[in-house]
Amino acid sequence: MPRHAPGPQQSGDVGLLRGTLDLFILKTLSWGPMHGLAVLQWIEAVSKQRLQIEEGALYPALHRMEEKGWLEAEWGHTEAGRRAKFYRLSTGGRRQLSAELARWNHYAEVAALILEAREGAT
Amino acid sequence: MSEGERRWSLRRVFRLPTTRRRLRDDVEAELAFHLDGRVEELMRAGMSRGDADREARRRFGDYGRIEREVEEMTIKSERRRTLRDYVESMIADLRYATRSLARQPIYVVVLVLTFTLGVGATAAIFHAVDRVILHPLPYPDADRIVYLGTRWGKGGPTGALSAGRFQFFHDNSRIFDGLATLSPIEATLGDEDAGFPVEGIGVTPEFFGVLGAKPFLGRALVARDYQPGAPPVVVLGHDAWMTRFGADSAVIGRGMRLEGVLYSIVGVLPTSFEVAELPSQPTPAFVLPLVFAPNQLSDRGANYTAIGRLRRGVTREQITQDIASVFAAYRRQFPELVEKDDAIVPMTFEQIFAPDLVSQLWIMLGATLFVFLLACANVGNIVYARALTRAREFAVRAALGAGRARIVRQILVEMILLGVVSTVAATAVSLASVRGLVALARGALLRESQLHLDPRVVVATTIVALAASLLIGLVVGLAATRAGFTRSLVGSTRTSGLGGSAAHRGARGVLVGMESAIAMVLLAGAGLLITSFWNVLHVDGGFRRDGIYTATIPRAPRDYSKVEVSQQFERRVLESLRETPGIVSAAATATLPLRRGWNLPTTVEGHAELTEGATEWRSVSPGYLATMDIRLVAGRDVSESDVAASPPIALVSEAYAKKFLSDANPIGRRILIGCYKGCPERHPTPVEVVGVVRDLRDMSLDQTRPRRTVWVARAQADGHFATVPAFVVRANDPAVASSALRRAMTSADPRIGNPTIAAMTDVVSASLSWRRFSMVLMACFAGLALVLTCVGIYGVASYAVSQRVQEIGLRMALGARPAGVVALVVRQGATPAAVGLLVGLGVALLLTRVLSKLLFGIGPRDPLSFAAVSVVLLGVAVAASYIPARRAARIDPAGALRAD
Repeated sequence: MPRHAPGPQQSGDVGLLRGTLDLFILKTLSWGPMHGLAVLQWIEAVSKQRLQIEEGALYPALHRMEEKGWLEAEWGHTEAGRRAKFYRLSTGGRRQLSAELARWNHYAEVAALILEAREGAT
Repeated sequence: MSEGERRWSLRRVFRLPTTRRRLRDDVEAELAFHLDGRVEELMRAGMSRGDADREARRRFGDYGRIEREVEEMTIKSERRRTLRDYVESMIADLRYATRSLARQPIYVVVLVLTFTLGVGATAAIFHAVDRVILHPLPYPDADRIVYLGTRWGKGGPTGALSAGRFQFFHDNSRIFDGLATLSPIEATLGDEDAGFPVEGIGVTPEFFGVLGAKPFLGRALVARDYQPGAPPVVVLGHDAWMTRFGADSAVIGRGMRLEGVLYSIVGVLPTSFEVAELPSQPTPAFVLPLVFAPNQLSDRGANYTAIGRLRRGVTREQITQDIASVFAAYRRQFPELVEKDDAIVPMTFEQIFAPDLVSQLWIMLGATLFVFLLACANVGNIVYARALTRAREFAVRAALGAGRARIVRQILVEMILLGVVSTVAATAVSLASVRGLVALARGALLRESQLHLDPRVVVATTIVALAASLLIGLVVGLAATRAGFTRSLVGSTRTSGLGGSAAHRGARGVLVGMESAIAMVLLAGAGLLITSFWNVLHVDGGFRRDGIYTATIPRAPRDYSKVEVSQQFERRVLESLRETPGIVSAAATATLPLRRGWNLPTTVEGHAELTEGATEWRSVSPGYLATMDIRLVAGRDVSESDVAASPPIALVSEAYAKKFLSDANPIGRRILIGCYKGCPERHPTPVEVVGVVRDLRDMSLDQTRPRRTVWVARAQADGHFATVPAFVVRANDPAVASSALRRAMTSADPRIGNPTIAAMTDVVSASLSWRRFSMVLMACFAGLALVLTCVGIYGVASYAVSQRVQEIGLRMALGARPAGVVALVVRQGATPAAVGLLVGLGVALLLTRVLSKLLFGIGPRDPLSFAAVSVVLLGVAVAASYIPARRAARIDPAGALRAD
């Protein structure tokens, strides 16, 4: 199989911060069961195509989260009638999502305070 | 639908187990779906198929790595899930098994008891075999220990060497790292009059090295302690150090008096130090250097246990060769000390110290294996019975989707549970019974330290018990679920397929047959041993037992080696005894019957060829033969006029007269005692034969041949043959006898301490301890076998009755009489037992030959014994099926027919 190096990043696009992919997946799936491709498409659409993700990385993440019990997986059919593996958030996943969200918001607030601080501020 | 997808759906339909292959396919499908979706999306946006494909893959990243990563993750998690499922269902099974067992405590108790006894008995005997035969020595690298023994002519070897031969082998043999010997020493610790007796050993220089023992404190004995004129030194035993020296570590260098001689303490032995070669006194209080005097080196008596530690890598051939060449050199150097057919042979510990026990223990181990098999058969039988009564429960579970494997597993789990409980119990039983074994064997071989629980034996017991319970569970589970148990759901258990219940009865019949076959073998063995014991106990030894009481001195004062002193003591005791009312008669002897005696070489005067090296030698006072009811065949008894000053006389046994004096009347002939082949250089005083004494069984009651014996008068003993007297009295009242003996002896010489007094009947009984050992064990095994078989037959018969209530009811309604019903059930119950009995009879006829050596006055195929045990077994079989038969006969026909 030929290897494809990721392309040069366009200016304005952001890479993925470590650990945030899990959070995005949880958030995405909180809207309902989806297969992997749909998860990606949803993130792309919401981030207005500005998030650069190595798409393949999604799958190890999905499987890891399934093993942790945050996701439940089931084979089903798409509207077009193709077989696909659908993931849904479990109760544990929902709890994880809210914990992660709280943590993320807290982090973002603190980060913003630091980054926006002006000299001389107390 | 791709071909791959079709495969999965098929798998889903047939619920095939998840395979690694399927997991891989799933991952591939998931990733392919992603790529395909992207390609379609890009093509919709106007890309060519090729471009879209490339772009999708570029965005996806390293496909190979990601696929591998996800695959590994899936496989791992699948594995974890399977394991978790398994453990969870196992726990559920265990919980279920515990609950269902708890509901039937009697069943559990019977099963655990059966299993425990079977396993426990095997473990105990195995423990003894391990300690006595496989690992008897407490020394490191014990497989390199070998003993040298002496063989005279054709007889079995003796496990000892003469001092001279020991020394010569020590100096010349090349196969040993060390060769050592020891000699027990009784001594008084402290001053001669105010000390207390202790037992120690004298050892040659390499002793500690050979045993692999290191001192706990100080040093062991070394070469310079053996030099002439070396200061006397002693190594203390651990116990003596603890009790006599208060475990004081400053004891090294201090002095200690033995028999009044001052020794300097150079070391203390470790607590683990044991001399296995002295089974009765394995932990000596002290160890002294043993140096042979010149006259000891020329003594022919084989009195020294020669313990050798072989060099590493020495082969059997090298041992044989070395021994032969060293002994040939000895023969050249000391021709006067070697007979033509003398030989030195390598021996093992158990050959020397437990020759009888070894074969007996193997036999007993064989017997316990039978007991074990029987216990397994019985457990199988009971479990089978229970499985059948649970047919309905199993049927319900099967209907709810449990496979046959699941139900077999349920039985297995219960068996494991029972196995674990039984193992724990069996370990306790085996520990207790090892103590029992030792008590039974009267401590003759196993040392106290060998009784400790051996972890290897426990592990072996556990493995055997668990393996057996698993196997039983598996076999019974498969057999019980074979015959269409699902039918049970349709009808009642009673009416469920006739073929099925017949098959069940057949399987259990085989088990019962096996049990009775084994019981038959064990009963036959026990019968033969019990008869032999009875025969030995009642054999005519040629001497009286009833009303005879014996007394010996545990430790004679040192001056008793002077004839005048011991003879004076003897005279005083006999005078006092003969004056005591209630004592019918009293006499003195050097050797009590069934105790270790003395032997000496003898030669008929003037016939150097009429000679032997070991004639039994008995030294008695006048009245001994009369007191003991020992019959004179010819001539006269020792009389009061046979004193030191009168011409020396002797009596000979019938066997002696027959062998050496048969050419003419033995009375009046003259023989030389203490003389081999006439010993012309010594000119001993000939003694005149004045009587012939009946042959006795006085070495042991079961001795095969009478020993040639000479009897001499105690009053004529010269200094060389001075012996400490033992006394016998005949009395009607044991209390009178023992108090008279005690009083007479202690008042004659208070220094002798407390005499050992025993009734002759007890002496006889003690002499049969080995025989009792195997008899009691075998009888226990046979009894156990009988009980287990009884339980088995009863179980099968009552099951059969419960299965056939309706049929029996019908028969009775049609006019069958209760007696006929009883006969029917008994016949059916006892038939498998009878078949097993016949098989067992055949096996027993083949096997009892191994008992030959233990039998006495009875052949290994004694028809009477075999007939008797057959009747017993058959009787038990009939009795065991009679109880359910009675129940069957009381069945109310109307009620039975109305049921269901």
